[in-house]
Amino acid sequence: MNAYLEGLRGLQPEIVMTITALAALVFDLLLKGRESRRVGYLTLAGLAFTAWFLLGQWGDSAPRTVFGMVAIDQFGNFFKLFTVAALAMVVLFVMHDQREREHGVGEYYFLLLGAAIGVFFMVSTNNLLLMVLGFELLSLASYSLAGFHKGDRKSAEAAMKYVIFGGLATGIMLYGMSLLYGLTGTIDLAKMGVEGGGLVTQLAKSPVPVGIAMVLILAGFAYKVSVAPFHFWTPDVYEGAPTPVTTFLAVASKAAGFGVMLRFLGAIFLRPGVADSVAAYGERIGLLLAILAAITMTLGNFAALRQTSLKRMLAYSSIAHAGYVLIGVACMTEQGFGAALYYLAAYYFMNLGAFGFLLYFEGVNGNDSVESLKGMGFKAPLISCVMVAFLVSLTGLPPTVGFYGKYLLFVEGVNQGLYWLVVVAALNSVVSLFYYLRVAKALFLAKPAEREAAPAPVLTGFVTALGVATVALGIYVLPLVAWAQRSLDVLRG
Amino acid sequence: MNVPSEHLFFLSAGLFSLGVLGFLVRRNVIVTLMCVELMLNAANLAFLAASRMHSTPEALDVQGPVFSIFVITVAAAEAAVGLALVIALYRLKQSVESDSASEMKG
Amino acid sequence: MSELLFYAMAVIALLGGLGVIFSKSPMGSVLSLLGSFFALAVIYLLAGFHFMAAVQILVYAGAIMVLFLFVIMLLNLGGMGTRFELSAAPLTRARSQIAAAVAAGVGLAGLIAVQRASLPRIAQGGAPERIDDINQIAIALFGRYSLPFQAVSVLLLTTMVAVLVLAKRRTRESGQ
Repeated sequence: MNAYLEGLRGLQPEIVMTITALAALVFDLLLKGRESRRVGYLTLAGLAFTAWFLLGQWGDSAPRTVFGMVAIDQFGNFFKLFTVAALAMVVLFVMHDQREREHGVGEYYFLLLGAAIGVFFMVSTNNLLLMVLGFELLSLASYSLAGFHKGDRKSAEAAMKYVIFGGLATGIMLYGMSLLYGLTGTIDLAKMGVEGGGLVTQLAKSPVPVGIAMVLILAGFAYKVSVAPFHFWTPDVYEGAPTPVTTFLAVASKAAGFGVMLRFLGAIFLRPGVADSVAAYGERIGLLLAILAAITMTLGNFAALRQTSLKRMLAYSSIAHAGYVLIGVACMTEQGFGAALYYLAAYYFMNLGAFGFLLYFEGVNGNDSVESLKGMGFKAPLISCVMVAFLVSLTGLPPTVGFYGKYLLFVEGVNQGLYWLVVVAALNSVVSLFYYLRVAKALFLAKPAEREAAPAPVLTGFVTALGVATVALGIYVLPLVAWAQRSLDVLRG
Repeated sequence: MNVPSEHLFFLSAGLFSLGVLGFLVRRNVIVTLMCVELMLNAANLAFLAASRMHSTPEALDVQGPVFSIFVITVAAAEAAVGLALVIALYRLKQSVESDSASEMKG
Repeated sequence: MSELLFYAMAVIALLGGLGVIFSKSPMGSVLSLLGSFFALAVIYLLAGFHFMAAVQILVYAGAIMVLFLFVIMLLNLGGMGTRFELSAAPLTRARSQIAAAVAAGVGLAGLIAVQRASLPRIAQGGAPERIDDINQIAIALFGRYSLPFQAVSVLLLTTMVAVLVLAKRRTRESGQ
């Protein structure tokens, strides 16, 4: 019984999150759909509590496992805090989005919280079963969120595409997991790769079966983070979904996808005591990921060049960024994973900010074409300047957080001998400069169109704060680096 | 039943590839969802086959059956969300061809 | 005898899968899928997973397929015949060949994965057939796997809300 209570203590953040979700649902029923902003405040309060418990767990640093499958460690904590912060920002976006306000539905918050609970489970478990459940919880909530504007054809179609391809990804991933379980005889990732584990026996006979299972499982994760060739749903879904939801998908859901990928690969290949043959095999998986990374970033960047809609451009840019993060994963070293974590944290600030600007801009303009951005810089100078900072950071130029993120990724890529990949990534960054600069140029170098800029002080405030963080953390890099590296303590055991 | 577990795996591979084939060739959204169900069933069969293989006469390897129970739950949830979207989309346009669900161009 | 039944059921399951793909109406697809699921249930029974066979029939055949049938009938798609057949979509020869190649490749990968793996041999005389699998599954579900069991309740509640959000008629929004 004591062990059970001890386990529950480890799950405090998840429990608080679940209670918040239920409270939001009931509260919305009591309000009968009116004044749904109050549900938003409730959600924010719940998120604050969750963060408080997470920070408490941050303090007692000894990694432990509760219920035999949930690992309470810095790595999971990193992604959980990340998710809570992203979710809080998304909730604020929802509350300050003029278009969402008229929809005014409290289920929005419940679904967002449900998705976050899924993320919590999937990033903190070494057990395939719980991983799948978390993954599906996130997916199912996201499908519904993508189709939240029912009157809008684009939104409904986006959700349909998402569901269908999501179903395919789930099917492929589950089939891969069933093969992996058949090969190793366990669904506990921690037991697979160590000396005497199932993978060692299999690799001794033939590497092919394990490879097939791995590729199938990674396909499921690749879908979630929109890595080629599973990226094609991304632009349509990102464009069709309501902008706050797009923000959630591009930031929290993508980070969670990387979280589960890193957890999966780390638990099998990088844990202490892993057999030599398994570790060597991990490097071959890394090579496969490196190839995918190169394809992904190239496809994303070149497609982004052609876009006229800012939202679609950001969608393709997020595909490209998935490629960059994948460099760190492909290194299959602790430093590589650390660089990937750092880049994800950097991505949080700059992409959240860019989407905040998009939301503001849509509120002003009613559409999101780059063309109609012209002259915004003179109408709304503060938010436009901040947007330029985000664009610089997304390109990866100093003095921003994005620059240091890319620097870490490239250094580790070179250390691991992936020279060609680093060259491809550097060339890609140059390409990305063109379309990011086009936005900046439209903002400041074109004649202003006659249009009044709607004041949205709160939204402007949040976006500015993110912009300040983007630049400040680009100059004063150490805390974030330390945090990312510390999150990998779990791999050292 | 004196059938080697490999044959269960082979059947599962067959069902899975039929699901993939159907997913790729059919345009009807509902049939596509059915093909996803077929794939999930193939995974289920593989889980059970693996469990059968790793069981001893004394002890059943419960991981497989437990996993497949949860897969069935997930399949039900996925079907429910997919079909709810079919209804929503149908209301919007009175059609469920996935081809016509492409107002946006990739 | 039971071996023969297994292979017969395997053939039926595969034929059902083919039926899903090639039947003209969604209704035919549903019925083929149902046949495939029943055959799988028999296979589970033969392999000694009695509880899973029951779940397969109750949940899959009884609930999920009924949901499909319900939607098809609700939207009155069953009799719409040609509008939903293969040729209605521009399914070119090249496209279907690629699809077939991909599917065959995936299936072959599955076959190879099993063929070349080192799998434990089942003792001579066939796999043990148990009738108490429900016992052990229940103990596992409420013991070792109690957390996923609780997590799935969150998943189902979320799904319920998600489905309601999507399928409910619009009330507050003004149609575009």
